[in-house]
Amino acid sequence: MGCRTEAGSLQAREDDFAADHPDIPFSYVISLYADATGAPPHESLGEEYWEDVGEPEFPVGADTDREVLDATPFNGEVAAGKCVLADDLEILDCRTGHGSEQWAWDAILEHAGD
Amino acid sequence: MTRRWTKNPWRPAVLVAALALAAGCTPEEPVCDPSSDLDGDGVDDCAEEELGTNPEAADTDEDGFADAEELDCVSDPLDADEVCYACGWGHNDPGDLESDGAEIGDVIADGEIVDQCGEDLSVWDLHGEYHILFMTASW
Repeated sequence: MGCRTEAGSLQAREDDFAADHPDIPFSYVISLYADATGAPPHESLGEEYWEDVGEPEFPVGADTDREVLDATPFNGEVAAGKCVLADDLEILDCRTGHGSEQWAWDAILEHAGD
Repeated sequence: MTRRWTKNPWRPAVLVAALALAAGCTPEEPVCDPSSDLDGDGVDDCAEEELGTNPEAADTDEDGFADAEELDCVSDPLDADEVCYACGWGHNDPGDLESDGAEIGDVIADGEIVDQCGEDLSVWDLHGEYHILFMTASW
């Protein structure tokens, strides 16, 4: 699964989580640290990517100064990184690559005491 | 013999003053009227008093957003530098956060991304909700 394909599936995953856990406020955030050529993202890349992945309801943005990337353990050297943020903005866990996010859901549920 | 009715020295105004003093406030203290909204901004005068906003100005901080609009969109009606996000995100930064690093277990440092509405979204405004931060290049 490619990054764009996976990004296009996130709204459905978010909706599923909300249906199963209505008391836990949750949303994805897509942060783009580079464009398709690997160059730093321009300011309108968030909007363009948001349209390309089905206009999800959650934030999709260009990390133009790599502030978000630098604020996590992820270094951007592999295709995609995911970090789970708690409601108090603690970094609960981070992984790279695509595929199952069970580890992320588990981290959220454990922190939320569910 | 007719009995003459003597006027009660505890006239209403005196009684009100006495009660007010007993309650710990002065009778001159204005009392807000929750049914009044002098500036017509949708926030009643009592709520404005509590919030510290001006009950006679619809847009207290003069940032282009009425006080009620800012309350609805989770923005500070007293801070002209903070306005409603066009995409509708709330300004949830609690203001007293401190980042302690960029590793698992740390509070993430604040940073900004340019969102799909073309505005800078502060990561700390994501406070109060859980998130999966999906970081990728645009391929």
